[in-house]
Amino acid sequence: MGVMEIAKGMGITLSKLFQKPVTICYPEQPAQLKARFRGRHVLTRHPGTGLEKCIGCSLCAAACPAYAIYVEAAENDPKSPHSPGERYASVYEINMLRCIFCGMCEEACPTGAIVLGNEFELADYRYGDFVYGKEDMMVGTQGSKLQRREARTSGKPVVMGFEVSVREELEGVKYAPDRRVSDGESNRASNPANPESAGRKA
Amino acid sequence: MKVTVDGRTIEVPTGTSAIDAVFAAGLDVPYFCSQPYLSPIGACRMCLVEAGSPRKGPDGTLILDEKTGQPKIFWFPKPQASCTLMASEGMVIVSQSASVKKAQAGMMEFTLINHPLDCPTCDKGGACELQDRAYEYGYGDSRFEFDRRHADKHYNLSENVVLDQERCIHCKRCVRYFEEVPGEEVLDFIERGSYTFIDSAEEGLPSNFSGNITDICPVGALLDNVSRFRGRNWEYDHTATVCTACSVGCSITVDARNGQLERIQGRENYQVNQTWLCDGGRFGHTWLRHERITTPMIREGGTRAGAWVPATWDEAIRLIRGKLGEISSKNIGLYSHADITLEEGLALERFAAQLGTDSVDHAPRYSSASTLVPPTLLEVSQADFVLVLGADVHEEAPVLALRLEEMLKGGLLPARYEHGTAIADLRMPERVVRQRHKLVVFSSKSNLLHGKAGLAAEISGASALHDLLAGSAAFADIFKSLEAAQKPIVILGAEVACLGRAVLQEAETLVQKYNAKLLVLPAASNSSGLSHLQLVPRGKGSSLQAMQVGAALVSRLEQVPADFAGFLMVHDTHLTEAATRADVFLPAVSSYEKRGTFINLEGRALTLRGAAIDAGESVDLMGVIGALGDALNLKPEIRGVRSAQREFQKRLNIDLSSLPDEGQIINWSGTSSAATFSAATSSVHSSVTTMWKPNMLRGKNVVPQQARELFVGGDD
Ligand code: SF4
Ligand code: SF4
Ligand code: SF4
Ligand code: FES
Repeated sequence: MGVMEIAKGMGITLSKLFQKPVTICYPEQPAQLKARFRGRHVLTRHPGTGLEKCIGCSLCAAACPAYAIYVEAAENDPKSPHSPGERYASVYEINMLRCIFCGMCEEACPTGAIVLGNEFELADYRYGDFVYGKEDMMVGTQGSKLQRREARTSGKPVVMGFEVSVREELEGVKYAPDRRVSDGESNRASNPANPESAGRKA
Repeated sequence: MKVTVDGRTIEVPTGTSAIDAVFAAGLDVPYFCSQPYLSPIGACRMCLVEAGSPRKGPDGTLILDEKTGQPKIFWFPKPQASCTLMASEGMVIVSQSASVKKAQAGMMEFTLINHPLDCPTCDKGGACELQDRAYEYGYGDSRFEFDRRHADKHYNLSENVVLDQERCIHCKRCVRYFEEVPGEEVLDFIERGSYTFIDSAEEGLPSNFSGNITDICPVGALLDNVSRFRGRNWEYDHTATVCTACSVGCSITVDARNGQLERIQGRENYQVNQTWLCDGGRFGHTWLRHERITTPMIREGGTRAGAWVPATWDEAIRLIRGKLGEISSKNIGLYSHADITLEEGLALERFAAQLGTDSVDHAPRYSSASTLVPPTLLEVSQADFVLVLGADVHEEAPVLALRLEEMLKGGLLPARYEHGTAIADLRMPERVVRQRHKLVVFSSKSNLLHGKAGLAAEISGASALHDLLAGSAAFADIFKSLEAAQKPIVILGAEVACLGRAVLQEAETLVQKYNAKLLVLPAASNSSGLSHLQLVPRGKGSSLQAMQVGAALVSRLEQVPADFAGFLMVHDTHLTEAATRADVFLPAVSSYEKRGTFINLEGRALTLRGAAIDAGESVDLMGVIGALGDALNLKPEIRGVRSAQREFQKRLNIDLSSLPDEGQIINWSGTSSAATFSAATSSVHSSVTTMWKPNMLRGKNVVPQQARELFVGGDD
């Protein structure tokens, strides 16, 4: 290897020293995500009526190549239905450890109920806490289970480490851009049925 | 008869329909309204094919094509519904041409005009004939854009069947089913044209066989309400097994999800149940999931007053060892319900012999069994005269009632081809007049069969039998029919069979006199198999009725005699009345979870397979015997299904591990036990236990009080 080559290589290194860095200081700075980034799922609701879009058909579970989804259906009470029509998902669970974030569930869903959102900070301590239930994914609930737990104990809002322009399919989802995100707590208050997962044994 | 289907010339028997000819040629035609066991009516028009046949001229010879010199084919001007078209000699059928495909796709488009296409919410989805055929034969699109017909969304036709009129495609299978199979006209079409809908004038579905319409409805219009929304069709674990709720032994598919039994569907067995089930067998499984106990339990403080506490098998065995150590093994009684498998029965028989105890019994059972070879169910449907004495067939062996209905219709069975049962057998007409004179029923209480018989009376089966033997003049007509009949059959129900040997002898004399066959309805599902094993008290042995033993194992019997004071081990799925008095509770598997063999009322061996149901630590009777063996330091001779089947191979020269799908009639004549059975038995047990769990069929006991009492009362 000649001197020239070494000088050339050093030259490239030197020139980069004066450029603006492409890396960001995550988590102090928010990650900039593309709209189609596939993160933790969101179960959406019909805009007008607020009814759940999911009808508990299990087609997402059938399409999932990782067998990550489990659905149990039940019959709607016509007086206070969960979803339009006769059927709704009484249990809807996704095991985030199994999920490969391929988006097949979203593609299979006939009602556009399950949509891959953008949250990716899903780390947690116990196996059981990676199984996300219906309330953990229902639109309005933000943050991973751990994030929401921390927010609850610290009394501070859930902090999200990214910024994104939310795509249309994620009906009703707003990831607060300034990172002072509305927390999961307020949604929980409106939904007493939320199973408390923090204390659950793994 | 030679028929050419798409260039393939095949040989089919006369009377074959064009649709079966196409299937026989190995090709496919879509169809909705044909069903092998119903009359073909051509309602759906989905099975369109092109067909033509040669014609004879005035001189009686075939008209020849001038060019080829071959017989000229005269084509039908339009595609024909192949299910109602009889194949004829030399017929040419085209089922795969572009114009046929177009006709079928067009028909599919029509069928879907008013279909709501709500597959994601529909329980039929994934196993739906309409879905499959639309995918395979449809355009995948529709040119019709007007509003669909709307009906009120689903409502319950009965507790067990839910109807969604919007989904109906008017195939008329359900309507024909009720008229032709159970012979009860319950459903019908109302209104005309595209406004036609299915409904029932009555409240609910007054039939014991209503669930079958959920199997045959090709769409999701009629659905099983018990399994409603419990899982999608592809999520279930399907297990092909046999129903043990009664002695008919219908073939069923048990569908479980997440280790829980969710649904039972009928499975075809031409010999036994065709494809039908009774409602008890189909919907009556929910008792299993409620309050089931799946771990051994012992008493707190070791006394019977103590509360139940869950224990391990080791703890239970230790406790049993302590107690049984104080008792002579001859003083241990072994008692079981009569729905155990043949293998379990053998294990029980051998274990009793090992213990040296004479106190072994099973219930319910009659004190004596007939040694005559019973007729098969097919023979029942082909009979030309049937005399029913003291039986409530709809309760004791429900699907037998369907075979009797078939007998009244003339015993016409669909033909069988290599591709299976005929899809459309044109010999089966709609609305057949029933030959009621072929059925005579005597029983002390009126039942559903009375309404179908030419002659029926509310007199006790035994007294009728007595008078028949005495040649009473009042029965002159019956004697005439019996004499004239070629294949007469006498059916004895519980009311007569529980009266013991003497009455059975009378019945045997009667059938021998008229060269008839005798069908004694077994007391429980596997009674006819267990009667060939030594499972009745011998010598000084104590029956279930007495239970004069120091310690007893009671497997799935709901009661024990009030004065029994010994050590009681109860083996059951639930905390029954007997369990409240037990010292140890050992969890049992249900018949849906067992592997083994079961003998039905015709003596047919049928294979049970275990469904994927989570039964915790439950074991079958062989498992309990193994545990008792552990406690007593004995090694039971029969420890599993395999060793039992090896023993049966020796006794019967039959391999029970590889029975054909339809089962196999067993010839017991070579075995010695049949005769010993009748001799060794002295009395009918009095323990009230029936084949149905009390909470079967959603809290309703489907066995009438009458039949229950019969199992209690009566003596030799
Ligand atoms: S994203 Fe893919 S792997 Fe994850 S739940 Fe959906 S289908 Fe399954
Ligand atoms: S999310 Fe969609 S595909 Fe999954 S069960 Fe609900 S409606 Fe069906
Ligand atoms: S309800 Fe089902 S079986 Fe009855 S006519 Fe309609 S589609 Fe056919
Ligand atoms: S018309 Fe329905 S199958 Fe032939």
